[in-house]
Amino acid sequence: MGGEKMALLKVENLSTEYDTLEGNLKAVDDVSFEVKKGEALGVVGESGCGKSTVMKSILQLLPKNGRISSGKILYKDKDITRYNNKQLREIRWKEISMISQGAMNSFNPVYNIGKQLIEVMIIQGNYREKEARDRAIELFEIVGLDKKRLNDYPHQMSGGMRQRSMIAMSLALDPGLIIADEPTTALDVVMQDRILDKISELQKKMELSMLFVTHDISIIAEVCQRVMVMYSGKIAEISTTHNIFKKPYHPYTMGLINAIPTVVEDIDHLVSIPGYPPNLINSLQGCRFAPRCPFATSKCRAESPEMKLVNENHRAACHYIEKADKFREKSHRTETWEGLLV
Amino acid sequence: MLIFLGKRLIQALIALFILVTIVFFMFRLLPADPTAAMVDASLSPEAQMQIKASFGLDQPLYKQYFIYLKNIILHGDFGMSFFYRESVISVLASRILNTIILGTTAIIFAYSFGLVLGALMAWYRGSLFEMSSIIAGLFFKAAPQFWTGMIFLMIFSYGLGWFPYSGIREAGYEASGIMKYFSMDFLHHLVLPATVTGLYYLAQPMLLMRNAMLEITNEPFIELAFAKGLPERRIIFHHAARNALLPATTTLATKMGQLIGGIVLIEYVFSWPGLGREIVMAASRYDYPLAQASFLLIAFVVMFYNVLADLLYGFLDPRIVY
Amino acid sequence: MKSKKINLLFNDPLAVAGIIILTIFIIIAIFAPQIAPYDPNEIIRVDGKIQRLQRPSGEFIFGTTYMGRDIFSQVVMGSRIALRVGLLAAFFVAIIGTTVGLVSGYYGGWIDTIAMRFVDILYGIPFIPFVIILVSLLKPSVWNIILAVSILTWRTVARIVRSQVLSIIQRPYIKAARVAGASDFRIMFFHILPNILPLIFVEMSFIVGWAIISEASVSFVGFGDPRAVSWGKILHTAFNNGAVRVAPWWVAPPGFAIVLLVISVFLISRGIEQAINPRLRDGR
Repeated sequence: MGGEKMALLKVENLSTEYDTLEGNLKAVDDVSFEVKKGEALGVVGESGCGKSTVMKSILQLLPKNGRISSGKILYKDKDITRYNNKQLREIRWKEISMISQGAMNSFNPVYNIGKQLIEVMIIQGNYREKEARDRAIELFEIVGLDKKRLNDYPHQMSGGMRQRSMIAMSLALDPGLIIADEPTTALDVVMQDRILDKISELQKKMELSMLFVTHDISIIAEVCQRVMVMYSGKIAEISTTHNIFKKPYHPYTMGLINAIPTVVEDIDHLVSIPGYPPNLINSLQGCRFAPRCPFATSKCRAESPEMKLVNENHRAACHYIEKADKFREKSHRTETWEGLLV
Repeated sequence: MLIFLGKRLIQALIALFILVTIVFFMFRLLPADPTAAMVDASLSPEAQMQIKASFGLDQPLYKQYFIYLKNIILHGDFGMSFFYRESVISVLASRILNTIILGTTAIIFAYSFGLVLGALMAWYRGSLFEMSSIIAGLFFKAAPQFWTGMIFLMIFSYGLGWFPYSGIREAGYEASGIMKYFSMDFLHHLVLPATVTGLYYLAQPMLLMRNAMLEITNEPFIELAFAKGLPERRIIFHHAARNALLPATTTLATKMGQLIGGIVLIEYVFSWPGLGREIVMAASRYDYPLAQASFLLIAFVVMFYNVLADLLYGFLDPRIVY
Repeated sequence: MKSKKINLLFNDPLAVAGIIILTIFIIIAIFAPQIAPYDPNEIIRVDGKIQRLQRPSGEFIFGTTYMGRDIFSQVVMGSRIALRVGLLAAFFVAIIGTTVGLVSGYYGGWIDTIAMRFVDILYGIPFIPFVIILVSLLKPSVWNIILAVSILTWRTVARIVRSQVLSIIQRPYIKAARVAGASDFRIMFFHILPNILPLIFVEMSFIVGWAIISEASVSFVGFGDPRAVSWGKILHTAFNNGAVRVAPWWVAPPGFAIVLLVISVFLISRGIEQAINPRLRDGR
């Protein structure tokens, strides 16, 4: 947990763009962060904030009309944006694996789960058939699935079982980094809870390095040690989970925290942030959150804020860091947010 | 799986039964003289009487119907061919096999080529290859099969001399019985008619495959396959194509039916001694018993392929069966 | 909204090409007797010699047959049969298929079950053999061929119409019409039908091509109308006279005529299909 852990993944000034019919869309704008070995970094934000694009950029799985326009992605100190296909195939799954959303066709429907697990072990891991089979059973045990399930077809499994299979598969080659992109979004609340427990347990026990992406900030706390909040293609704030929840410095983070219903407090109604994120096609002036920010000034609307260091482990992109305490207080009150003209 | 198969078989049998009934009534009600449909007027009066009796032609229609059914189901007796002066079944026995071999080869060609081409077309979207495949498929679909056959004969048989122009074997060739089907000579005769037939049916599986591939490439499991670092060829075929071929395979049954129906034309052009050619010759000679039976057997073959195709689909898509 | 879709159709270069080609064929068919330089059945003699198997030339654009007949005139006249068969068969199929599909889908229940079982059986009947049998039992004539083709082909239209009806019947305005007291007939033909028409047009276009090829096929194997000059009949005579060996000019033109006409109709139907269903348009 100390600060001396090696940074496994370093993203430096990453910008990713898409060519669309309406124009050039900069989905990720100058994003920099790190994931240390053994640490789970949560990535949270609304749809369209760029979190999925960041993941796709790291995995080099951008669609045909997408490209990394600038920046570096350093994995174990090597810039993987420069890798050719052969080099990429060397690190795929062996070093970086993923857990996807778990929608219906997240697995190939015409092969049973076991085959799909074993496939990657044989092709990428050079396992022999028998070894792969044994390892598959072992992996299923780790995630709490009966080995008989290996013969099931994806449609025969429940959502929760499929997600466990996903997790098992992601661990198959002992990767250095696991990218989990909305792994519980497609599940019901009860199942979501169980899977989160499992992921959390595995992450801590096996000291997995992980990027955990979600739009739901309430589930981050359980799994992640650090959190990165994204808004409109940029990082709004990044710090430890504790700080993000207890001492947020960016108004957007404050809004997100206050929108979480808790069982403990008595709330009349939920605070929510009115309005929508901006259209990323047109270049924007000023802070992107300004239109929805209850504390925005003319300076906010004119100038885009730089990433400021709050302390060693905490950064936020706001002009008014020093006023954060006051903002935090106000953000607890619903009138603050409803006062916005949107 | 067995229940699935059983249900399909029963459906097929019922349909066949209804078809036999339709044919019966067609042949009794349509021509001016119904008895002419079963009895050769050029036979001796005694022989005519015999046939009339065995088919109950002097009895009321409904009784005739039952006799007709009984003859077919119990004895496989479709009557006597006017032309060949043999029982219809003995004439048609070898024909069925010839037609089945030709039809099966053609559909295998059409679907295997079509599916592979469709997959490649989708993967290399927007290329010249894709464009020319679409044009070629369209052309062969719009051209009547018999004409394509004639053109191929012109070019490849008479023009280049690469292939024989008729029949299933050279006159005087030695091999007989079932072995003749495995001879090089037979295969040599099979190539042109099978190819011509296949080209006509290539377009649909090709285009269906292409469209399905384009959709499949957006599915999450394809992205997963890339993330796993699998080689591209494996992703195209083992993952994407294996799924994309499902829509095309649903058409296999209807296509097979169409193919056997249309095979008449190919057999005629290439003088291929199958059911199709027989039905044309029988109908033109007014050899009604032979024509009836050929028709029924063609329908039977079609239904056989339909059931087979359904089985195949069940095998390919586990979601149907499990 | 309808005019927007017609605009889309005219923006599609392939569909426009199809329309142009089809129009040319129609014009040729209408003015065939004027366009054809000779009577298609006339045995042409020059200085008393029958002009057998003449190669294409200025005199005989597509050459002559074994009997000394001008192939170009035959092909031109043949367009009449092709268009007549194509359009009439499509028309009959549309009427029968749509009616059955509408009634079956609208009423449901046992009417639907019986109708669809019947359609299933029709699907099991091999097409060309059936047409051959039917035509040989009746007289071989253009009308009987149109009849035979129509009897089987409506099965596809019925299925398509029925499935459309099943989905439209759920829509609010249909329920509203029922509540307002509209008769079944009125609902079927004045409310549901207009929405299905575009789809029927698309299918019709495919059927025109299919009917043309079917007629050509039946004529080719010798069951065509003996008095008519159809493209299939030309090829029948050509084949039986060994044209495949010696006279490619006899074989090619009628076939190309069929291919062109069928492709033109197909391009039009594809154009209509893309105009009414935006998802099919290429690019994404």
